[in-house]
Amino acid sequence: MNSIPFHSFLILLAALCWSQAVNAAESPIDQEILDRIKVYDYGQSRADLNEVADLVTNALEDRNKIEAIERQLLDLLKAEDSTFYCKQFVCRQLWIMGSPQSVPILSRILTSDKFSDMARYALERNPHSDAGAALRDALQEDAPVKVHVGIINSIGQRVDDTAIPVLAQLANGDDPKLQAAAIAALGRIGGGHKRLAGADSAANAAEVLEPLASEGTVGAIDALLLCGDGLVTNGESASARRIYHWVWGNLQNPKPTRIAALRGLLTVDHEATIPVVINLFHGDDLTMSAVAAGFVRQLSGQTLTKTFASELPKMPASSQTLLIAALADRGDPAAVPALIEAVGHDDEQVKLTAIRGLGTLRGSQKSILTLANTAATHKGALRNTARDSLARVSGLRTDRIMINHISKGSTDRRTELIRALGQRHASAAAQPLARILGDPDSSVRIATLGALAEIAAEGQYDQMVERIVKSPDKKERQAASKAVVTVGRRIHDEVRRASPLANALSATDQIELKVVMVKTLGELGGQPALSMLRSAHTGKEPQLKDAAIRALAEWEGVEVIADLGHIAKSSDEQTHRILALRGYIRLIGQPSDRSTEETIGLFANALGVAGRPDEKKLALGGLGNVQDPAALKIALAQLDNKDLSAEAAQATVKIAGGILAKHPDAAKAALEKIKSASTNEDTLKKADELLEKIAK
Amino acid sequence: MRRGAAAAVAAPWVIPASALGKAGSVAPSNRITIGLIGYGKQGNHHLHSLLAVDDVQITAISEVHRKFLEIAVETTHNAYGGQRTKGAFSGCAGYNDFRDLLARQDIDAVLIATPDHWHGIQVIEAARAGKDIYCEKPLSLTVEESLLMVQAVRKHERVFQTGSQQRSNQNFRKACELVRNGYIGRIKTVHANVGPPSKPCQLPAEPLPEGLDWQMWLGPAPEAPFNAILRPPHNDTYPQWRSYRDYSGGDMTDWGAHHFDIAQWGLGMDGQTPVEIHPPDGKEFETLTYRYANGVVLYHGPTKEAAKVNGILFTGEEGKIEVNRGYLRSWPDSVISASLKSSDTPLNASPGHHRDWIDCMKNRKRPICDIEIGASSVTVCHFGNIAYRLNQSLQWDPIEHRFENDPTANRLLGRTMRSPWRL
Repeated sequence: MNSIPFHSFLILLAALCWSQAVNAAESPIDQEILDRIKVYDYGQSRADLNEVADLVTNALEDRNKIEAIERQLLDLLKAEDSTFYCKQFVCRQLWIMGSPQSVPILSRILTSDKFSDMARYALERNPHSDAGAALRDALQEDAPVKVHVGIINSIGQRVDDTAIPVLAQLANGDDPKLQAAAIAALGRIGGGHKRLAGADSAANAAEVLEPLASEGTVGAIDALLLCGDGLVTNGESASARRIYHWVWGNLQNPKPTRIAALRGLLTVDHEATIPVVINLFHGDDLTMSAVAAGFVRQLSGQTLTKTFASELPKMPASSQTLLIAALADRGDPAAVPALIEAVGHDDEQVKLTAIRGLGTLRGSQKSILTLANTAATHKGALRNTARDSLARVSGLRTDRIMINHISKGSTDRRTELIRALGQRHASAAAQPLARILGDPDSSVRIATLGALAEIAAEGQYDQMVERIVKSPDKKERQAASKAVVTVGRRIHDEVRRASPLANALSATDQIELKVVMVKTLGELGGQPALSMLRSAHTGKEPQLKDAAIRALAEWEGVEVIADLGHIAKSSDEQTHRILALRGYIRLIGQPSDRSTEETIGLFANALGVAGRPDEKKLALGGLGNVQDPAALKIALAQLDNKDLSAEAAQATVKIAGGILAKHPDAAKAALEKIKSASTNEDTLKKADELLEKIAK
Repeated sequence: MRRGAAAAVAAPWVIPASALGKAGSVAPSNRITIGLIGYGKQGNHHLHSLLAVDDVQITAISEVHRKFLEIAVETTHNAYGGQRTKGAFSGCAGYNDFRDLLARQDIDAVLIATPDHWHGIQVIEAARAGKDIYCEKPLSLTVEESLLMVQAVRKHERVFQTGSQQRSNQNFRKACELVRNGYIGRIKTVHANVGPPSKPCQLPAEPLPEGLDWQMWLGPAPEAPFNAILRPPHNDTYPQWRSYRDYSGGDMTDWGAHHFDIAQWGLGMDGQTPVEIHPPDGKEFETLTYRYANGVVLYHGPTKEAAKVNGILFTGEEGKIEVNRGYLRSWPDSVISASLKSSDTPLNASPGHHRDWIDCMKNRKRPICDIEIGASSVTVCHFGNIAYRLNQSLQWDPIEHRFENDPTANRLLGRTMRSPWRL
């Protein structure tokens, strides 16, 4: 056997590699994949399609490769035996990557009833001029109307101004569908982006559309207005103005188009159009008045604000309401005097809108006092709206103006301003408000305490505690206590928080005052406060003891569980025992570091101590949250107690549900017992569901 | 509508005294008449909500599945039954084609709850017909649609509410207020955790249910066979057209129209968009990353620095705020318990997403999620989808509304519609 010389072998190998490389470069998609795609139908695996789609995406930067892919895909498109969804897939890819080489092949199917939409899918966004020419040429070919409509739509989408003559013919033709499409396309071209449309395209399209619009042809006015917008963009305002004037001035034109024209006029003929807008408020068409209000919101300038505001008194109430709301939304304080004036209007809706509007604009002394007076002298919606506005009114000087008036004027106005400062969280008001805590007027003092609760800090705390001591009646004392608790909770130092109250407690002999102090300490929380409660609870004074026990029962931390347990067991007073036990059960249920075993012990203790079914039920409710077999036993033990059987069954089911993964046997036994013992439908249903779960 | 005697017989939607006060019953002539377009699961929710509102009345419904159209009309008649006998309700008409509904002069507003691929056409046609509009989110299927929708709504001075209802939720508002008023310092990054883009559809053909006008369901979307996943035989589950590219941008737009929307709100970027978009590359960009012109970075999903983010996480130089449905939390904790100071700027509070829309129709204000807001938020989502699709970084020119030097990406800004549909 003759052997091949080594150098010849190398040449052959190189040729083979080169051939494969050339083949790969010319045919990036594997032929087998192409063969499968050729017969693709919806519902089949998209694996091949996805592979090709990925190939396309990854080749977008490689001109040679993407052109080779395109050629291969175009072969699929040309093939008469490729399926509809194969062709659709190819067109979807051409949407992204189609080049001029795809255009002739797409042109062949562009007028086909079946494939035209997908051919447009590929052509419409192809930026090459050949694609535009293909679409225009297709209009000269025979095709169903629907196909031509689609092609016209694509021409409009491409803003192809070279198509204006052919579109003009169609727009003046007899077929209503073609006519409507051509008119819409002319509008798209006339109003198209200047990057796409030629300088004269808006004017040329408008020239075609104007007579059609005059005749009332459907869609022509809309399209003409788009041309108007295009003319404005091209700097041809005079032509645009003519269009807008005609559309606006012809009362037969549909209202939406007239509104659009008026908007256009405001762009090109601003000053001359303002009186038109104002007139709409005086007219008898409320829809147009509302549209005018929309324009008022959008037009800028302080002079305009004054112009519009000066018209207010001349308008009917319904228009005033619209204009006031619009003026307020402009955010221009130049409207404030007019709005203050409108607060005095006879019409309640006008009043309300003006009051609401003042809340959105920068406050002046007059506007703030107007709002405060309104809140002080009215009830219902007017008062509520004025209060809301006082809380919202903006401006760097607003808080200062309010502070300056908290000691002036009527009591009602003062309390409104004080309340507003609190709602505004005006921290600068804390010290001035603290200074009027000794005001002779009780309602001022109570309002001040409410406001200080929102904004006071440690600096005002002692003065507030002092108000508890000095309050002449229960109502004010409660207000002071509530405010002290709110502010005190913001003080992190527990000693600092409790000490003024402790001092006041030791300094007074008034038992009623001591009771309030103890109650306040209970709500404040913290270790020093707790020590004082413990001390009061063990004291001899019954009222103080009662207050301390109530405070302990409401305490928020688990550190009082032992105190409450002791009271629940040993107090002479049944009320105290019950209160303590309820607090005890509540706290056991809170998250803590104690072990599950300890928690179960505490619940067992509660069940033992409780004398009444009510507390036992509470304890069972809490026990149900403990997911442990020991808890299950305790709950099961109560099943036979007729007063507790329902709650015991619920707790049992709940615990069983929680432990069934780790303790299926115990859970199953308990649930089966429930099945025979309970009559409650919900409980039985849950037990069944859990048993079924265990069985699986 | 005219003042005086004529007001009783004409469209009554401008600021009746009874309406702003929201007190007492509302006279029929003072009700806003609404047409519902689309009665699927979400349309059903809207219908029931609006039927309970005194100062609106549903007078027409369009739906392409006859069975559901009949259910919706019957539901409406039952709800208004008492009023009908008193002459306060003259009936609710059903239409297969939404254009017949829009042609009715006596309808003031429409609520659009159709699949996303219909929104652009229906919103623009409704604006041209002079209707106020509530349109479900995500606002659009493409960037170009969004731009044209904004133009149409502005041009005809329509009141428009986007259905991104998180804007009407107190927690989301509070989070954004705190962020915008500097309670966590200057914002560096935002994470918004939403799902992936949509994918091509491959559902097999199934027998067409009786009464479903499949061609009207598809509308502008490419020809495809019916499958019940796209239009289920009942209205109690969300149909999965959201997963498919011809009809939706996927979870990216479905949830992005909520969570990216809140990111935009918190950043004060309504009406604007990021200018850079980078798909994940395993190196510099861990996840899809957006950058705004001011340097703030927005991430699609978690990153190493925020691995457990759910909802929207704002990270500032002095703290963090995370908000989602059901919770609002901050680091440090104290941030979320802060109340705004009088010197802060509060955000507009909405009384509820429908209520806000209705009130705005009466006083002609822009609702809490006006079209420009909905458009910019969904555009953030579309940008993400385009970057994922092409797997390449994008630079957006906000003046020209084009990607810079990227003709391929620019092709994906819009989509061809089946004849005869057009925008």
